[in-house]
Amino acid sequence: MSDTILNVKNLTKFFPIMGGIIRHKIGEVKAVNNVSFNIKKGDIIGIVGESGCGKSTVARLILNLIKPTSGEVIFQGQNIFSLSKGEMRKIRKKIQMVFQDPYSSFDPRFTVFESLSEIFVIQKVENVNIKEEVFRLLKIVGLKPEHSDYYPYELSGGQKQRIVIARAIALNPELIVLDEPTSALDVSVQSQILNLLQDIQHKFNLTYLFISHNLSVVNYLCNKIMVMYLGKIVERASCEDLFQQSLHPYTKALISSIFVPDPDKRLTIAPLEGDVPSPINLPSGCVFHTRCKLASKICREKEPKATEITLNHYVACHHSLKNNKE
Amino acid sequence: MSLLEVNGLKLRFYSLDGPVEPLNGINFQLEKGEVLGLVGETGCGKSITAKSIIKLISYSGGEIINGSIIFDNEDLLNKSEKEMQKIRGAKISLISQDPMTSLDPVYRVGDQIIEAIQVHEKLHYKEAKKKAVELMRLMGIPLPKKVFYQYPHELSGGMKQRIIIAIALSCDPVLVIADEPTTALDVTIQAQIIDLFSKLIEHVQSAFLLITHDLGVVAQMCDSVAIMYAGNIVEKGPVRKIFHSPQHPYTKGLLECIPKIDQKQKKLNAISGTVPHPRNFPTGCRFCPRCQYAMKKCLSQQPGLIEIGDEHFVACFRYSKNSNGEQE
Repeated sequence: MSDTILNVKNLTKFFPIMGGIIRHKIGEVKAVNNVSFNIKKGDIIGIVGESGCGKSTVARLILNLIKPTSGEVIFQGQNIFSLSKGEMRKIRKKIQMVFQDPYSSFDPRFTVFESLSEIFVIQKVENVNIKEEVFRLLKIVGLKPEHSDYYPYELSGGQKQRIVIARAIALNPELIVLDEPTSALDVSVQSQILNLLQDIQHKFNLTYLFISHNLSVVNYLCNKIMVMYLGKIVERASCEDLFQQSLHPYTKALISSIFVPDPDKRLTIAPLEGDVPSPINLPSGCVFHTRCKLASKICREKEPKATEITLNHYVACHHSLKNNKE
Repeated sequence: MSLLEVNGLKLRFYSLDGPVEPLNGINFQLEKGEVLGLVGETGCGKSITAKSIIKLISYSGGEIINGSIIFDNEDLLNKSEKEMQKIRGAKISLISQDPMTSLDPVYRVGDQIIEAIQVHEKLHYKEAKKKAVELMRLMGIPLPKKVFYQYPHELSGGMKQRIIIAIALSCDPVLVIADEPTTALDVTIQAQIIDLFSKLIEHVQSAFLLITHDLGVVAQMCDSVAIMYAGNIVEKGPVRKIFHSPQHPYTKGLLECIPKIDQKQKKLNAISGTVPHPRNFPTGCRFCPRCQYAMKKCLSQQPGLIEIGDEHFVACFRYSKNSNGEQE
């Protein structure tokens, strides 16, 4: 399809664990396990999951910051893992990233101006008045030209995150990967940044891959959601479908463990029991069966395949399939 | 008589750039068996309030310069360190934010619970162990006899937090201060721990002071709420009043800027600006630079807490009856 800008095919990443006297491989952390999805132009896709489910690893793989064990990421018709360093640098213009922690996203010895102007030098952008460009970027993210002379320590967390966003949009990218961009911020600042991200997306028709553990934030910003559990995508649907008719028991549990700020809506459902199993020894069959109330024999033996239940609503669960067919 | 009464608490921290006073004389009461939520953003002074109550603030470089902390009819500020040690853990206990660093990595978790018991109660190891295992079972730890012999690194974050709660409740304290008890945990684990807290609140007689930035957790657990902003309590009252009819512009803004889960919003109502640093607190109302209703008076005078309804207090000039108001 022409409007698909990123195509992830069977992406897998196992991190080796070294140990023993001669430091040989004694095991593998199965961080991302056979993940496939598409991103279309203008999409805001959310990836949700608990810590250790592999959502940040997916982000780093898409940016080619780490090499996968197997699988492909196809961006504009090219598999990014087969590119040379120079070719990859050209692609990096088109895929930008915003990291979780604005406090460690800057060189403390660079002023804001230096941090922002560096991009144009590194990417060898010519015919551009760097000073004007930096001021224009600062204006877009709601800061003043004076801020360009500040050092990172003089800025608050919210202001820093605005500059990280300015840096990400500087070269008119096609896709921005946002890895928990608001989780280090206070709620009142978080709402400012979320509004800013939404405004920029409309203005420049950007595509976002938004990674978060906070379902309410994802619900606000995104139009499609993927739920990850132990390196696998367990459910993938549009935002409305996922919240109104979630099918996977893990998604249901995630949605029901959100505390709504309303004392009349206290939780009554018993929370999900147990912890996430170790990604080193994955459970057999369905990875969720150790915590699932519906788990039966087939769940322990056979891994469920992602199936399209309704249009664009994919679920990897034996039981949701059965329920829907009956 | 309230169980805990904090009156006019003021702190001072010394730094290279001169002294900083992050708390501006805060007042609140806590009744027996009550669950009070102390809510605010980073830097509003909620954690140092907690540390002051058990007089641990001097270890963080602070000093209490004004106010009183009346606990069980006695002012804790007049107590010596030795007397405080008998109160900490036995009558007032603290659950801290980060379960990863709150346990000693070189001791078995069971022995750490026993240590807390034996400091305050004359019990033999065997009896203490029986009590510890019983506590662990109450905390919903599977196979408590096995976990007893494990080290902190062998346990998950949720399990560690359960051990810490067991230590905090080991001597049946009358007051438990929980400082962001679920912030470091994942959503499903957070739901487990909050569920555990809700059961414990019914089971034990203790009062809880829950310190958090998460209004969802407060709505889930608390009887009453105090909202803090820049070293002041700006609004306090019963939980339903605060969530259903918030009066202070900051409380309103805070509730509006959380994305709702049950509806798709076009735009969030963000509060503009950021929390001021304790060194540059504005004179007058400290929320005034971010407030859409700011009046001339707000720039120069500080509003005190005014009772506007049953047990519902607000510190905002919009609710004072005349120009003098009913200030404290």
